[in-house]
Amino acid sequence: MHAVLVMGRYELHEAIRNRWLLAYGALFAVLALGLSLVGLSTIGAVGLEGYGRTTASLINLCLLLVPLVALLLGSTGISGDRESGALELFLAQPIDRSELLVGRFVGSLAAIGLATVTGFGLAGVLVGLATGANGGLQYLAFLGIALALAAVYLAIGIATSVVARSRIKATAVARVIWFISVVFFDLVLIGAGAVAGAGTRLLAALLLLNPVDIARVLALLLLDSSLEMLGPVGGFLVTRFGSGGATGLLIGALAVWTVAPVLVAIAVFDGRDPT
Amino acid sequence: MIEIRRLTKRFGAMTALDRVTAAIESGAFVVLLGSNGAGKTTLLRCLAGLLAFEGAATVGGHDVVKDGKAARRLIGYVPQRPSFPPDLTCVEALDLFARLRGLPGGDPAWLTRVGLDTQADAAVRTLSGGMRQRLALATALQSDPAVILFDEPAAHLDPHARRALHRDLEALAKAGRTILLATHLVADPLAVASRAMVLERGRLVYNGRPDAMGAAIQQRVIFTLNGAGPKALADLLESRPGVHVTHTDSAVVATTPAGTAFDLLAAVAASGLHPLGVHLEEPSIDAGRLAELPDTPNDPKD
Repeated sequence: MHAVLVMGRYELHEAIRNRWLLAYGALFAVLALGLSLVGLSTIGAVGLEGYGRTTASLINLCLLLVPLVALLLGSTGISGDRESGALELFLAQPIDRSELLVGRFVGSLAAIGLATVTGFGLAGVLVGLATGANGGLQYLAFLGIALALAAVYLAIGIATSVVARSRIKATAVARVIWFISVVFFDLVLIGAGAVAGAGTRLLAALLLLNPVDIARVLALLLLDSSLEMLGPVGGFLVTRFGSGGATGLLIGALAVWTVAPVLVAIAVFDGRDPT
Repeated sequence: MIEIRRLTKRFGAMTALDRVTAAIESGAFVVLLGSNGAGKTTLLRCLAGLLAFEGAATVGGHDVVKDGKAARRLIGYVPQRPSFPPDLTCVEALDLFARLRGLPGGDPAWLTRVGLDTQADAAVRTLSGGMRQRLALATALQSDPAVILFDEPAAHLDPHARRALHRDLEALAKAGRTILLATHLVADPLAVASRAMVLERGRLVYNGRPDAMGAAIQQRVIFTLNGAGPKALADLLESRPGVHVTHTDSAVVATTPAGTAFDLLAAVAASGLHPLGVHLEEPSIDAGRLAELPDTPNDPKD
């Protein structure tokens, strides 16, 4: 546990030093404020929108960007250490390989979490102060989903980083995973529903295979649980399990998507020569 | 302190270490010799828990595979090309690796001990290879490990710094630490080591006292000629005991037992022959002659 904290602190410190964390937080703050302003201008007014519409707008942005940032950060960790030779020094210390991996995961998640909460949180505070709007809890739920999504794709990125033999291969695989998650998988779902005539039960099962879709339905469920907003798959889950049950199922699925890649990464890392 | 039993390491079809068996007692200063690719680095990496292998190895009674964490707690490892995270400063690197070893933090005094006090706040990426190896030595020594595995320190050090390092390692061994120093340079470490182990293509071909290696350590002396013909010089050199000579039209190469090279030079000077240049190569090991020595492991099962 001690080594996990040491590695986590090191990872967070490096993220702060390398400025990417600052840039990432600033990007989200600007986009969150910008989306709020743009959204309001479309209905002919000038000023900031309230939380509800801002959050809804930000979900799509979050589903696009958070997986990409987390995948790239995760995929360059161990593979980068392997290429630079630093992995040899780390593994020669009295720590378990699992401690090294989990430490890097915790530190990277803390870094992404800090940037996300700072960026989106700053925008959220400004929106709240400017509009006096309600819906702050929904905004907090959105932040939670963003963090959960970051944890999932960070775990997948770290697994990629362990399995791939080089940093270039790891980041290439990470980009492919991102493309499949945010673009290709939805086409598969649409194809399965429209062309193959798959039922909502099958589509709901397929949805659980893609963390981005899980997060999307979960966000909609927390923002507005009316069935017409949720679509056929989300509607099926709520009808089948109830709102609370569907929420629990989706959160559980994200937890599995986080833990499973970390376990795979540990198993591969433990069973393979690192250098 | 270190027990190695039939340690075999394969990389695909290539056998890097072949049934290496050895025992190293506490406080020994062992120099691990062999040409490039002989398996020295691989052996150190196996002992440091970095590579999986067949056979067994223990450090301080702890199996380096099954109880690797406890074994590595006893080991300070200095790799051939230490690569710290490049953006860390020397002080931060010292602190990070101290904490990973369970210490409350790094002690900057270690940077002074290895001559890096003026580089304390410099980023690791700005350090030379020699400086990085000294930083790695500081990070390895700061937890006072019982065993020090040191890989090819000569790679980044000038001869003066190399000899100073060997004296420091000798002092550590006298204080009870066990040193395993891998190098392809023979001359300097043998003068201070208490034992020599020689690897040849993955096999341990010698394990004994350094001063018993005798004629197995050879040195090449290359004489460049002025076109007058090599015959007279070759004849003179061949008349010396234990000297083997080859020549071309412009050079004569004498291979002589280490420590006798200057006798050759004196003989040439006294003869009135005047070669244009003389180059002394680093002494190296003649594996063929090692096989004739009594400390050579001869059991084919080992």
